[in-house]
Amino acid sequence: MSSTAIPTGPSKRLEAFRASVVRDLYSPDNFVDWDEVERELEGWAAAIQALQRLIDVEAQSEECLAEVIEHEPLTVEVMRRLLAAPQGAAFADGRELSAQVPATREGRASLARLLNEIGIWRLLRPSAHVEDLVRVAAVTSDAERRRLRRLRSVRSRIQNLVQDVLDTLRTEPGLPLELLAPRLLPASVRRTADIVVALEGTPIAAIRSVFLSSSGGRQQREFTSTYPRAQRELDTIPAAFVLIADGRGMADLPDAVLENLFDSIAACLTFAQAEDGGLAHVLTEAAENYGRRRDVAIPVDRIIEETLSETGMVVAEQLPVLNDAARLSLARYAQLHPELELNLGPLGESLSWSRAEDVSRATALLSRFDAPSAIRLFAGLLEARLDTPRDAAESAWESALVVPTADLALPGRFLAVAYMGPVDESLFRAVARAGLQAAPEAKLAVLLAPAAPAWSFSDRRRLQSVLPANVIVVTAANLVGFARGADSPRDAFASIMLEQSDLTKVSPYVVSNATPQRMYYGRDTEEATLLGTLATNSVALLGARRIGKTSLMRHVIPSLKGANFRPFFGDCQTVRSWRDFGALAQRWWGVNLPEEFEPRHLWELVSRLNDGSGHQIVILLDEIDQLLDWDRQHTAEEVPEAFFRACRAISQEGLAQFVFSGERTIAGKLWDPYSPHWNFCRPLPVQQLAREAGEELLLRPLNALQVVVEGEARFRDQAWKVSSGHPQILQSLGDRLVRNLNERAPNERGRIGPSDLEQIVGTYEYSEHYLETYWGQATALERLLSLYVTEGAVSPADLAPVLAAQGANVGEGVVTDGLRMLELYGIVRREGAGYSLRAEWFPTALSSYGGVEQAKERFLRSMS
Amino acid sequence: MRGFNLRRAVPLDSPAYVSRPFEETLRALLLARRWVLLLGPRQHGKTTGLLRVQEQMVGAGIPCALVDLQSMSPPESYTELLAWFAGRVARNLTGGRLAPVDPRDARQLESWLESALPPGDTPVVVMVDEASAIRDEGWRNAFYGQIRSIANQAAAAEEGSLARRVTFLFAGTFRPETLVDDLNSPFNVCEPVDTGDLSEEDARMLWRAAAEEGDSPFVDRAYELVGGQPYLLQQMMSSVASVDDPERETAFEEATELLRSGRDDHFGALFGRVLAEPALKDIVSRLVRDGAVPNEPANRDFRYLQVLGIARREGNQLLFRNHLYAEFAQGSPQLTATQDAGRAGTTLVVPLDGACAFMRDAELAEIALSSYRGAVTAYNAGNYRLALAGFGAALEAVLLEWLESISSTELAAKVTAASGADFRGRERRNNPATWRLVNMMTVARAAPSALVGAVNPHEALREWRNLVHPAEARRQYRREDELEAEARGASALLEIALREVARIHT
Repeated sequence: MSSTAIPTGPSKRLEAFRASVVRDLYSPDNFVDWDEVERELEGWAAAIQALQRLIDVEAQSEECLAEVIEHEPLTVEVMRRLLAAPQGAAFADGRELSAQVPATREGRASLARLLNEIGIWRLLRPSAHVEDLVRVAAVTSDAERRRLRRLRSVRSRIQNLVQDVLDTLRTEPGLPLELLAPRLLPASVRRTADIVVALEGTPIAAIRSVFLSSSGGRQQREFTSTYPRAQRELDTIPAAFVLIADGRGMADLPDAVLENLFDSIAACLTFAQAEDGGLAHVLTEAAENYGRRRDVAIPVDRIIEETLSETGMVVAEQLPVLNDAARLSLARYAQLHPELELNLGPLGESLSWSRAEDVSRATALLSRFDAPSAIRLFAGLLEARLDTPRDAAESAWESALVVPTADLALPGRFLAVAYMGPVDESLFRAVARAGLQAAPEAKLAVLLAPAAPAWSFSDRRRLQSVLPANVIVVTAANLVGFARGADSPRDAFASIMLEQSDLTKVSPYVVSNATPQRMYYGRDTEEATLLGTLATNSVALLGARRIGKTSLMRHVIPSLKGANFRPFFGDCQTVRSWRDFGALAQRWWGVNLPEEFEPRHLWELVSRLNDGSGHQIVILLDEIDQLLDWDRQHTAEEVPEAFFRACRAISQEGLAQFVFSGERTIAGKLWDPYSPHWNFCRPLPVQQLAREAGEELLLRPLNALQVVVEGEARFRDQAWKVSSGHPQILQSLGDRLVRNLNERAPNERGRIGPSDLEQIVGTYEYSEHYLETYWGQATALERLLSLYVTEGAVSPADLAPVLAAQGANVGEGVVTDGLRMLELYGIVRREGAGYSLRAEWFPTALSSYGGVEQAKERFLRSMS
Repeated sequence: MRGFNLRRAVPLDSPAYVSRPFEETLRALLLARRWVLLLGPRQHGKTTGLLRVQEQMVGAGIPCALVDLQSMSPPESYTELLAWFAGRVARNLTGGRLAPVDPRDARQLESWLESALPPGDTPVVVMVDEASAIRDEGWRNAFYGQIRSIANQAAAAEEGSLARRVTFLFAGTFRPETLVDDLNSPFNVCEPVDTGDLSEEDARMLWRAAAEEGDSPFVDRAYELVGGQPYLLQQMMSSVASVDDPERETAFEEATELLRSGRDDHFGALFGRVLAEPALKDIVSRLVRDGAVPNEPANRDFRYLQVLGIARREGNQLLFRNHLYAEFAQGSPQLTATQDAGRAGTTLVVPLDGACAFMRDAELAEIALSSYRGAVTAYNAGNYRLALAGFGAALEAVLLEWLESISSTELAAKVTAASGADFRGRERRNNPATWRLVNMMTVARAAPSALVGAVNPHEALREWRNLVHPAEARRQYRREDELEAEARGASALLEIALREVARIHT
């Protein structure tokens, strides 16, 4: 079979392609999905009637509108549609045109006011016909679905075309073509192919269909980079990459991009060309050549490649073509190999390695592996310093401590061993043990060797999992790759680490303890407030457990020193009495105090801490709640709460300021207007991270591990939605992602996307962890209150009678306190006189346990 | 047959062993230097697993100590406790060498640990088995609080310091949130790991390894009944393996019957903990009634039932862990609150050590507990006369202890208020130790501080203690099996009295 649709010459090929491109694929019969529009209108019939009645009969007032909203909640959705805001909208002043109808009268009045201000009456004029208005709005909404209809139509059209072509070709001798699942392709091209055609079970062509409604940078990159790379990958099978592309965006692509694309892949056809015999032609050719592309191994490229490998540089004169053609060949080679770090001469007269010296040294190791040279080169590529290990007695190998700049993936130092002999399990174990001795915290040792062991993935994984440190094999060929590659050698090494490691050992996420400096993000506002306050007042950091109070305290210490304060940190977790506090002061700050420490000795403590420099003393006491409980239950010289009172007096005298961190006890003291400590120190809430910091906390470690996040915008949105920025939940999420990556084959560890997140979040365990984290310390009443908030904003005044009607007779004051505690836990946020949900994934998490209503019943039962 | 390991950790060289997934998880976490909390039911293979993990750690070059807190003799002081602990750590890490500890730091665990660690900066692992075994609450809080403090220091400590070197693992069957004060608990900074049951294939492998035979249908039948509970499985397999083929059916049935009877202390220890906590008892009673209970988020009682091993989670439901537990609970009048409850032939749960711990008179507490235990054992064996005597004695001990603990003024007031009290012969109104049981019950019910509704037995039960006397027994003769109902009622009455007196005491 042959085709007349595809000319072979470059210019005609382009001309024919452009001539057959269609700008769009809509057809009048499915441009608007009228059935769906009418279905929507039917669903809103009552709401439409209510609005019609409002403008026909009732007054156009906010009060009437609020009433209509109350009696017919769907009117809110209808009005959002009319205002072209189907998903709702948030306004700069904090108000929201939300998806939910407010549960309170106040909320509904506020919503009616907002709708008025937006201009709802401009649409709902006295003479308006609401159904017609809504129909227009529904058609507008349908426009968003149009693109999906088109996409489905394109996919179905290509599927049918391929099937037809295969059915036809199968009738010809020697062409028993069949379809194959894309998952049988190499992982790197799997997602690029929609359809795979095979001959006798072996892939010979991968087909991708694209309909481009517009062209932009990202789309162009696909044509200049993604698809050519896919073809190069497929060449190794070999298989042809066939792109069937159409649409306005294709028509707008520059000629150069299209020409490059035509050169880089087996075939690029418009839909019309493909249907006009072009696809059959391409598939026949692919089958006849068992997937090989014609002219794929261009001889000049081979010469360039060989010369670069041999000498590190190639000049135009060395090529067996005319000078202009030679320079073009060099330029084209550089363009086709963005993965290589090459220097193209100013006029294209030469091509050389950017790291020519390193490439030369690495290449020398390929032919003759020299252990000391390998270590020096490896460290040099990582821009790391070399150090001598403490115990370098092992004579069978050469070793050194590599000291790179530490980051989230690379430790500050690790052992590198270079060994000439074969790599086996016993060597691995010995290197791991030596790595543990030389750099105990590294959990990483590098084995530089002439060649890698031929182990299966599962064998290597089993071995790594029992070693005290991951042993990463870096071969001479890897070093050549580091030296030649466009990626920084550090990133290239991190990629190898990602492939070879037992990732549970190197996960940077800290799920159960205070966060070290390397994983600290955000909190700039809190830190600034802290520093700004301490000159004149003390501060209480109030927040739930695992929210980051300790991390903030520890992180602020250098800043305090920088601002000429004298900070003294004390962990009061084990301090349960005044005496314990005295022991803490002695142990942590080296101050000798009476063994029977009493609150009056605090003055003595402050005096001893004073070095006469004039710098303000700041005493940071982490987890103070237990000590305050003791303080409340004991008296000194008949003074109740003597410790806290002494702190207050010292603060007011300006002798020292305090930073306390705690939860319920200290919050209770500071919130209670009848407490003597009501205005002692400034309460500083420590709640969830701001969005940007939260996303960094999750994504930066992944990036450092060389994991690419696909669909990053959606990934970020989802991560935010399911965590609301809670640092512990984010770290736990990151850790689960890394553990899941650990289950994958080495070449599949480099990418994750929203579906990976969904997989974790969809588990019962995630819901359990989410609720345990947010609800862990909340009382039954507080949990119950949070359930009411999930249904819409509430105020204590509204909620107290509702609870009483359900048999939970607590006063408005108790409800207020409960909501305030929930605000401290980051579950709700205050809005005017009421509270709304802050941890927005709460209702979804509860759905794993039967939903909000069931939970409400349970708590109400337990309280009755 | 190599034999099964029923009441001890499986030795390292024993082939009668199947590795468990939790061991791999522990190894991975410890190698990643993460602190671990291993929770799981009793007799579930925790210690066996820890021994193997310890061996793997040492094999990997990481010194690892395994300290079983249950093996500690009651210490005289907190310092003695720390010294003992450090000694055990040192035994594994440095051959027992302990560096001297500054007397001023003798109450600091950190100092003792530093004295027990090998020199250098290599990481070490310390595994604490039976972590709930420190009885003294103050010492327990201090001990774990100081361990938590080590964890807190890790983020900012210097490389090579104790806080950066040591990785802790805690194991046991306990409630981490109540074992120590939640605020200074090291368990909050641990990664939780559950032991998990054996799989069906694990059970077959265990049989093949221990019995040295090919597959047997009895293994599948045992698994059907007890699931993957290692101890119960091995009990059944061991019974079957110990006899020849023709007798195996009988051996299997006898083993099943023995377990169903609750005579094995496994059941007493397990269900005793449930009965000791009203919240747990309520959930298990609902399990008996409904077959499944919706799991509740962030509810630690639900979590603890899984740790104990009674229940497992499937989807969002909590279910009995195996059929045998379900049958046992359904047959226990202590857990059935329906009209159907308490039918003849049911099984009672042997009370736990702490069932009478609220009593301030240690001797009377011991008498009450041993009488109670004897009564339950007798009941489960079908000896109802003895059971009645035991329940009566236990009840008498509980009431006597309580009446002796109240002030003389209050006692006098109660005696006056107890219109039905009839003091005869040697009975003295101001000395409850001289009273008959009937008077104790009457006074106990009287104001003030009355045991309202708690001690109000039917006439037929009142003199049960006397039924042990042959002459009395003959006078009111009932066949042994006919007394089951009275014995069951007596058990419930004692339970109510224990609950009420404990409530007043606390």
